[in-house]
Amino acid sequence: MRAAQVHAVLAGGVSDPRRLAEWAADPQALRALGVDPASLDLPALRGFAGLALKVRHNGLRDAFMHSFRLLHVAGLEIEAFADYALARASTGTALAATVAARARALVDFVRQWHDPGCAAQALLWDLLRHEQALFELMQPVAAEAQMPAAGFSTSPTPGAVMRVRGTVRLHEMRHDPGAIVLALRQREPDLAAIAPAPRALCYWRPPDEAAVRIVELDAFGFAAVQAAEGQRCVSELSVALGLGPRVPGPVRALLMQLQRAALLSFERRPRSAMR
Amino acid sequence: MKPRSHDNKHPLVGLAYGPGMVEFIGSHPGWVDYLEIPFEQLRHTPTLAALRDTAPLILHCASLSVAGFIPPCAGTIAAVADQARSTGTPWIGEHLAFIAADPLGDEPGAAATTLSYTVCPQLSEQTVERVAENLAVLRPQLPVPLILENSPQYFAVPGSTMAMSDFIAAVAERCDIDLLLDLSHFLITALNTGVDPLREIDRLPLERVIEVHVSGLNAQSGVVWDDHATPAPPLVFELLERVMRRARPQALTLEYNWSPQFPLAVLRDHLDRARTLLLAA
Repeated sequence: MRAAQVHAVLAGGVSDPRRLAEWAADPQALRALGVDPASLDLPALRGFAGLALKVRHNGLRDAFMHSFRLLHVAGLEIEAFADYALARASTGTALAATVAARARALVDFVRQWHDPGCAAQALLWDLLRHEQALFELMQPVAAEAQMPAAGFSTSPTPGAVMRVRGTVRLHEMRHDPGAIVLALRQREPDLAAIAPAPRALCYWRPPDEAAVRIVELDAFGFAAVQAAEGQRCVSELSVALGLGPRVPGPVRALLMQLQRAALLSFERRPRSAMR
Repeated sequence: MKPRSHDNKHPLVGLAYGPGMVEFIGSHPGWVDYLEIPFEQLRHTPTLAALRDTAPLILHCASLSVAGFIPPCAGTIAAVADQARSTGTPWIGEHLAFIAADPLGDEPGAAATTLSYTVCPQLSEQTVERVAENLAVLRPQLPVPLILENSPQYFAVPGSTMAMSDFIAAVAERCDIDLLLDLSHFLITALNTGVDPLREIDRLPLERVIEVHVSGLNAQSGVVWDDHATPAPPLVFELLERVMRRARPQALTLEYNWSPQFPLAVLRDHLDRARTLLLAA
């Protein structure tokens, strides 16, 4: 086999891992390129494509240190990045230039890649979103958080528009990310010992604060903050919850709780906006 | 423990440039003799050249594709030469590998495939000859010697007719070139190809080793992979001891440059162990 042809095949497979699947399905295609199919370990070459892509994500290790540790401890690094290399080749997208964009792309991939039935992958999905939320919220305050209030502060009346004070990221987790982080700090992490503990988390950076708070919400609180992100009014939230436009007292009480916690504010629309 | 002091007669111990390494050098005076910096990073971020104020620089390179059939462009070779002059590097370490290859198929005008990561070449006489041809073009254009680093082998390369150790020996002899022995790459190759590393190391032309690399490795999906985010296993240091029976490298670089969380206690310990082994020989 000519060395130049062999090199062309190796480089072609690494640069576009879709070819590896094609060659596995049709070994004659490989033979036509001058390489004996029996002589090429396609799974290992696929793993090499994963390694090469993993290395290009080293810049994410600072913000996603526990996710990378989890990938390593669970033995998922090569598999995950090999599948990611294939997915990227399929979409033909270039690797993003910034850490933030590269992180978003990786999270988007893991969203559809992970198998919730696989314990380690389920842990990874929770941990990755946890670290992404912290990373994004620690960036210089986004314009969305600096928007001036549109109306006048009020209590959660049916017509009041709900607003999040500051910036939030909402995630429904299957595990407690804190417990995952704690386990990963051990010399020999026992991932199997991390029991599922579903929870709804609100990662919240209040205005004019540098720190990010993590607030555990109940189902109602989660729906309320979600609605507030869309800047809906209280009666719309009530309808969305199946409670009708007349906002029940307990709902108002819970909203007032979120208002007292300074997570939500309620605004009356200015008259001009109501016309 | 603070490592022993050194002078110019003793081999140097350095770190590969990466997150946290400059800070480590600043906070550990006397521990690190030099910083090894990739040409590609210097080219992308020219301001990194200021690192020479922090520590002497040794230039490392992954762009010359010395075992490939697609030569680097003239601009790349000139840029490597420029960086060699401006860093004052005593040599340039380059991978005995390829990073570009012919396009697949025979479409007219198709561009070469260029990768972001070096690939182990076919281990054959054909490749040895090609390396010789490439070096004959490259070496006169570079202001300092080129030394070649052994690739990690993750799978059998089709058409190979010799083991990695034989390939390295053949290239070294055919091209009369010195070596950068990456002990972790060597161990990875031994483990993936099923040879005894402690026996195989003696088959290398160790007298040609100018620089040594040390980093970690990890086994996943049935293959042992390079990993600069984990510490070298004890076997790498055992191999270093074996190497030092025959070799007198001038420098040893710890390549712990993938993760900003690399444990500093391990880094200090490995710097100390490496220097002790080098000085004891």
